[in-house]
Amino acid sequence: MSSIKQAGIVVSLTMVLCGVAYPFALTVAGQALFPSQAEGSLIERDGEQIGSKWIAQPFVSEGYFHGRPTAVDQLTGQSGGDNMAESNPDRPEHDSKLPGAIETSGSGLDPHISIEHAMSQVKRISETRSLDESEVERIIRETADGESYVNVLMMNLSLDELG
Amino acid sequence: MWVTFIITLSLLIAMTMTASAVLGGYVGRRFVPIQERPNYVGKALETRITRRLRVDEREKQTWFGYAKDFLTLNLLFLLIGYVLLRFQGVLPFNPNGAVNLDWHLAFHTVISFMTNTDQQHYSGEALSHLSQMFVLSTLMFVAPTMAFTMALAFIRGILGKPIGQFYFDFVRVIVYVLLPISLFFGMWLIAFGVPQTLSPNTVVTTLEGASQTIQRGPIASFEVIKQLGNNGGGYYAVNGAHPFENPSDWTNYIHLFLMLLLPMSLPFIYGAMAKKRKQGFLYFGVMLLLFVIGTVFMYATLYANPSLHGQEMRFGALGTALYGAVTTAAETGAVNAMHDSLPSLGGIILMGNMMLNVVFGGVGAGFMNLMMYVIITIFVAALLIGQTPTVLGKKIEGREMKLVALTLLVSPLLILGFTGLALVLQPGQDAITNAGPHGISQILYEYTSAVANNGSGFEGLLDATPFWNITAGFAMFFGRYIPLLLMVAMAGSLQMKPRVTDDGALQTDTPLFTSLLFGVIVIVGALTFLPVLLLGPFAEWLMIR
Repeated sequence: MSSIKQAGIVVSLTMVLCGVAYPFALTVAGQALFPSQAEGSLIERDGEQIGSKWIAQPFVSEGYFHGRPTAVDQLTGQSGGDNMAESNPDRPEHDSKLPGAIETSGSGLDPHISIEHAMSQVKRISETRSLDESEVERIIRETADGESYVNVLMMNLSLDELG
Repeated sequence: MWVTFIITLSLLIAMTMTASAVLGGYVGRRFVPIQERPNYVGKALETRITRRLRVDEREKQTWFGYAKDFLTLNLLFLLIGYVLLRFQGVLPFNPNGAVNLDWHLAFHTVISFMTNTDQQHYSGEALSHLSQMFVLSTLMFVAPTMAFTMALAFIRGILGKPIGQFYFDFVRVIVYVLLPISLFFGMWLIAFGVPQTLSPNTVVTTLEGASQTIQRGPIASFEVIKQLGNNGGGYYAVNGAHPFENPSDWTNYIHLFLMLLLPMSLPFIYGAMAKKRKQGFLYFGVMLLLFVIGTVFMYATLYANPSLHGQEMRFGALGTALYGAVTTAAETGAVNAMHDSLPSLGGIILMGNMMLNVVFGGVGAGFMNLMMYVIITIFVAALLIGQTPTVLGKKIEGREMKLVALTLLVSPLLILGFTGLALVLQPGQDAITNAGPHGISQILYEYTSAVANNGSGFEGLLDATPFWNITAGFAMFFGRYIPLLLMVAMAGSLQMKPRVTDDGALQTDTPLFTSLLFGVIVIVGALTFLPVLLLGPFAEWLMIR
């Protein structure tokens, strides 16, 4: 058998095996065992999809926690960083008291903020929503679950539940 | 912080080392040609495929025949991939209306995925489903397999064993190594939140009432082979920084494990095939030492500079430093932070790992580079003590040393040559987005990553132009094929030599030889690349200090 013909058979076999059969098999198994994660960890409220647990939303109203600065339009779902080097004069100074609050994230879709960044927003949120500061702080602690960062969308969902 | 770092790094090393020793032993025992083996899982598939190809395992291939099959298959994949990308607009499975890629972008993209580099100059939505499945996903299996088979042939050659049959090795690597591991860890990734769906993108209504598009797809299957095969091409523009590709510390850890698994297993495969476990272990040790030094330094730069610019909250300094060091050591090229924005001194480690390309290195290629340094070390050491240099009982003579020296020269010539070219030409300078020394780093990083077949980038570089597509395309192509073929040719030349007596020959499985090997790697690497690293990342550090 000529070596070109051999190579041709191998090309078509690998395309079918690795390009089609493999992702299809993983999709079937993943959808069967972990349907929610496989679909993108979408969150529903009152029967309507309101977002994904992992994708940041651009919060601007006073009564919600705000996320990290971003280099992209989060509503389009596109990802991207601003790629500014350490020596770039346009790059904002870092504030060690508020980790991640001034610097743009890597993906532009970072769903988390640091606890310090969240705590700095407690006063604004409690005033806007006429809530006790302790209640807002409790939401931060419960959502963070011991980590040093906390999911913005999940906190804002809890805020809405409080009314 | 340092305590957590040390514990995490030790755990990562212990786990990957154990797994790669098991895998290495398995491959080393099972992938020996012409050996009667009992029935085993997957044998039916293997027999089916190899029968259709009419290849016979007992038929001995020369290194030349092996390399010819290797090249034929590579060229055919390149050709078909190029045609599919070039004409994807008129081909089926194109629901989102992707247009034909320009010739230079198709050229760059197909070389990029065929050479295990996965540098991406196209934007995410530019490809049709057909291109994603038949070009990118397929090549992510094929590319690491190619280097893996070459490494197997290389090891057999220097051991004086029959080289093997190319198509048998090719089929076995995919069927017994890549596919099962991918399926297993793919499920874990899904469990931890990586999507795996054929449903289209969905539009949600945010809490503030706006419409947000959630871009999703079969990401877990892409992600797992991207890391396991040291490919590194992202499903999304920001690669492993995207929360869907890498949603948590857990997935981050799985990524790190998968990136290191195959490169780490190569010295163990060598140990098992040569029946010299101690030697394999010592080779592993040299690479591990280089890796640990780089990783500790990488963490130190992030520890000293707590800015989170271009980084993700969920990884922190620890997860970011480990990922940067591992992806450049194992030549994967996945990133979980924007490397352009990382501390300037960290750039020395990121680029240094790629320049050495022996800190585990890419699948197969890293180990062959190590053996190249081993032969140089034997040559130097033997001259020092006035002996004939031999490796595994075979004399190293002019022909072998010429091939080794040529191999050693390929990567600096390509990296420094192309960087110099881009620095003096207008289309090269126009791509710089961070002025000053960091601009040099951006260009240097691009070509280093291309030649080392890594694929990560200082992504601020405006590289989606014909100039960058063509030069980086050639850098990847030559950076891949010249060293691989030269090294297999060298192994073929050693294989045919008569064995001389081992008595009184230089012992290579001693701590003394191992430290000499370490010294040779560091000195050769440092002498070659130190000047340009001083001009780029080091000068930037001096500037802002």
